[in-house]
Amino acid sequence: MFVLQILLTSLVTGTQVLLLAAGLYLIYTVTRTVHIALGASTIAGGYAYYVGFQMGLPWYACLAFGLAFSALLGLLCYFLIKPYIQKSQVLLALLVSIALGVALEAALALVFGPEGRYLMDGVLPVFDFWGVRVTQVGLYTLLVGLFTGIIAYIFLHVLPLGRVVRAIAQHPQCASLMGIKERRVQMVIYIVAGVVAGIMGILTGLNGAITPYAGLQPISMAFMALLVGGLTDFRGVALASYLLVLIPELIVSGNFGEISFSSSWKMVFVFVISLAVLALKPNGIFSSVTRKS
Amino acid sequence: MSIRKSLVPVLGILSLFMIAGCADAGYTPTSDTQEQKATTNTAVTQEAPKEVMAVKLGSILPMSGDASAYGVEMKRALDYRIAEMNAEAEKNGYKVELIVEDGKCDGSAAVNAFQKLTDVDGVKFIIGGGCSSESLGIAPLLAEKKVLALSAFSSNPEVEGKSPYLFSLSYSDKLVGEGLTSELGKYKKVALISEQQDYTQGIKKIVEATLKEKFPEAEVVANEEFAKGATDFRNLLDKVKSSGAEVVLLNPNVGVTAETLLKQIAEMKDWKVKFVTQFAYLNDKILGIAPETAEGMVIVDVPSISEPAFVEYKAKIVAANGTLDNLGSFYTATALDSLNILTKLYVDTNGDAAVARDTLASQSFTGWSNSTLTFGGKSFVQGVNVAIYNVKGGKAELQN
Repeated sequence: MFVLQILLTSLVTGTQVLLLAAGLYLIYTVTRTVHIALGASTIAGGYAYYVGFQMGLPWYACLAFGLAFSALLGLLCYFLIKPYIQKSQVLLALLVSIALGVALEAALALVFGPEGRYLMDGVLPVFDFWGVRVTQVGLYTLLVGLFTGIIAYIFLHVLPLGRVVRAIAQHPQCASLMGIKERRVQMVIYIVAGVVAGIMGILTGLNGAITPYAGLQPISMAFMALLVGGLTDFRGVALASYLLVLIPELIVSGNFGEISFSSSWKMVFVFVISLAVLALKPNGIFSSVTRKS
Repeated sequence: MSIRKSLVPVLGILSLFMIAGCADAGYTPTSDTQEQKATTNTAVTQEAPKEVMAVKLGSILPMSGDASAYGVEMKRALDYRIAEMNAEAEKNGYKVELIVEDGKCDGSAAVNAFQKLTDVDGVKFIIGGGCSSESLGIAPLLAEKKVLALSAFSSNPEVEGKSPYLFSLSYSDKLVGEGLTSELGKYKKVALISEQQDYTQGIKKIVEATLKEKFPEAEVVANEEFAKGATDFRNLLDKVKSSGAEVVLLNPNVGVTAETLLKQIAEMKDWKVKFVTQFAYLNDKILGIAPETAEGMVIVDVPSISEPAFVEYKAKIVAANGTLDNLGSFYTATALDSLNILTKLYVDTNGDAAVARDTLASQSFTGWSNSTLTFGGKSFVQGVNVAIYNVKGGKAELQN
């Protein structure tokens, strides 16, 4: 029962990481840049929900406000980073993204104060499945993750826009020659990634609390999942998101005779596992060896 | 040309976050005189006569970060008292100016704050550091610069003997740690849950050592730590629950972390275990969030100050400047005592920090936190005892 409980709680956390990693993956696919500010955008989405909550709005209005703000933030980020994407200045784009993230965190701390905020009052409602517990928000997180996964699959493999995204990912110049408007696709992807990050921020805030600097750990986890899963393989990114949460959780929850690890070791194991996988599979979990000429 | 062009927005954004960083967490250092202009009456704003001595004090407090609740509330108490003193500046012969810097409950931030106070503002008397991390951070610099620091709530035992110029009006965590261990030692299987932060780690070390020494039959079946400011403890709590502990030490820092930890314990409805904790839970608002879970919880802290004159004075501060719930009565008293003592020393020694240090180390003072405050050559004030509180109906009631 204890292992099942750890599994279920880790699934919720893994889904939160996946939502963020999905945003990173989409942006990397169409721009070849890593948008680190997505971590701070996540928390900004949570704070937008909090503003609605403080104004006494119903949850769906808070949600709409949070997601609309996240979409706008995604658009703003795109316009600020666009010049470097266009010139393929990957390092400068990364630097601008980091700067944006830090500025956003500082702005949140200025406006809301450094202390944590709750998006819901009181103790969270809990579902009990034969002794295995999950909070109501945790269950919603799992459902949102499943739903997002299905939508992402349909988007990438069925819808025309998905084919366009894949075309840009495979060969941007060729896609451009085929008449695909790469800039417009990039803008849409930034907005979509912003909204998905906003969903993650709201769910995380509802399931615990948010602080202005709470985006750092999730974005680190999502970035590791992106690297371990393979920069252009969504299946790998999804699997890595769950494994990088679950394996460290199982290690720190286990008791190996005299050896027992405290929960504070979790991030250490995340990096050790990531390094080990990258050493064996540098191009991602599902990558295969290709012959070089 | 193109590189130069492309660098312009980058530099612009970097400047943006550097500016934002400077105003970190919404706190802008203010001097007392600036604030009094807006909040108090004519006595402060009028030009002081020449014979009125300017008592220039600095303060390093956690105005942002996890422990900002303490810093913000302590400043409220200090502001009130300074306004009161400055209203009688001519009569007293001195006027107090307090420059508050943000130590962020962090050693390196406290050092930056200290350098600003001493090098830029020329301060020689400091109220602080607030957090133990801040006091420990500035300790090595105090003797070198001959700056006297009197903390109101640094309680880490490592403060003792760290610098001849560093004093604390708080009790030492050693007292609380031993008090906690006395409660934990009543059980055979003990679990510890601690935040990775100087104050809580100090408590943890004392509990571990005292358990081993005085209660060898008590077994520590789980010893968990979590990152500073964490907000998801569910797996950690499940692990502790599965260890079969009979008693659990909850050792988070005050504020949202403590509140979230209690909320997530409350989600585990079937976990019946005894909780022992420190003053992070000595707050009726937090206990009221999950009263059923908190019922029977044992809290070890210093005695609440119930002297009517102090209760009345504290109520006046709350009415004028806002709540002091997190600071509580003891630390409100030590905050006021630190200001009163440093002001007196400054006036008596004409701002000579070295002479003031000798006086503070050897003489007794009257105060709110204790009628007689004596250091007797030690860093911590002497003669403070712990109190045990029991939580009943969502309220902490004094047991001893």
